[in-house]
Amino acid sequence: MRHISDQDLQHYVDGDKSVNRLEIEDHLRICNFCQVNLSAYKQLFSGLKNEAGFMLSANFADAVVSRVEGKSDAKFDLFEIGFVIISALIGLGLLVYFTDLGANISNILAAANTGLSSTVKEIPFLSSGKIQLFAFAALIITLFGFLDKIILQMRHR
Amino acid sequence: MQDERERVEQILSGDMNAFREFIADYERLVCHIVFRMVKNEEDREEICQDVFIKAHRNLEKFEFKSKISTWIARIAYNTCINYLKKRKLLLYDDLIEGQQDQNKNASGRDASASFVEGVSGDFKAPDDFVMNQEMINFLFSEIHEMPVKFRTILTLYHLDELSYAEISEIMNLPEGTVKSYLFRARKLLKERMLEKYAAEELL
Repeated sequence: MRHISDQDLQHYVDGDKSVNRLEIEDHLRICNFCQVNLSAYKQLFSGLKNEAGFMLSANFADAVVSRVEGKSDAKFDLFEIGFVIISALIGLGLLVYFTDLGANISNILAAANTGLSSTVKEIPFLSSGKIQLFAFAALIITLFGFLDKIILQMRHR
Repeated sequence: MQDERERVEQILSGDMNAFREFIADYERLVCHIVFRMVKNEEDREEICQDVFIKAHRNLEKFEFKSKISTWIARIAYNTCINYLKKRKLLLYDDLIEGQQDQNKNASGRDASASFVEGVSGDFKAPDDFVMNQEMINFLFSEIHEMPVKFRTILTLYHLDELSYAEISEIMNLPEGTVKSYLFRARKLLKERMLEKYAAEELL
């Protein structure tokens, strides 16, 4: 007697229509060997659907979200550091461009001997009344403050 | 699909509640894959987290050419494969044939042949088999001794009820290979069960 192949038994238990189910069932009625094989497959397929042991912790989603937000914060932190460095360089550039920085530093150092009030008067751009320079500096500070606020809003979104 | 698109857009706009829903929908699938592929219990949950973080990072590249479930399952599978490679854990594929040979007993007969001696009675076709806990424990320990690809295919097919085509896409294997591995894995487990249990326990 020829037994049912493992492949056909698997397809039979899977409900696959490619096998001749009537022929298989006729054989199963008279063959203990194939009955046991079939039962083993049915037990196996039932066991393979068992989800025991597949369990994540209750705060799994919180942990993932926290890590995602942590990575976002790190990205923004790097962006902010870059932003501050660029701002500082621009500010320094403007200072050098609009003032005689070397002379001013010398004057500030000389203030140690002559007192602050006389030093302030000796700083050229202050004594020459370049009001527009102050206005420009105020504008830059306001602009950077505004951009910083936008970044903070993005971080908290 | 439309709902999935909307949710993806919400996640991309920074909506963390939408992302939490996304996690809730796919954590079962990811957990199945990771827990079956990675034996080290201490690393499993962190790997599951890594999968969702990668998904969040790459979501903007998702083009809806496949189902999101297939896409995230593929991320989970590749993350586990990278973990196993990094830890230098063998994939055992070359041992498969050897394991099957061990199932032949000394007389050369299939393990199930000697098992059925003495079993008699009318055939009944029970549709609702429920495995007892001891058998489940045995089955799980046997599954964990199998090659990682066998374990993954068994999980995706039986636990997550994915099609051959979906499993093929997730594991980057031809469909024929998936079918062949599934057949061999199930035959191997059936033979292990027949070696371990008496016929009466299985009928």
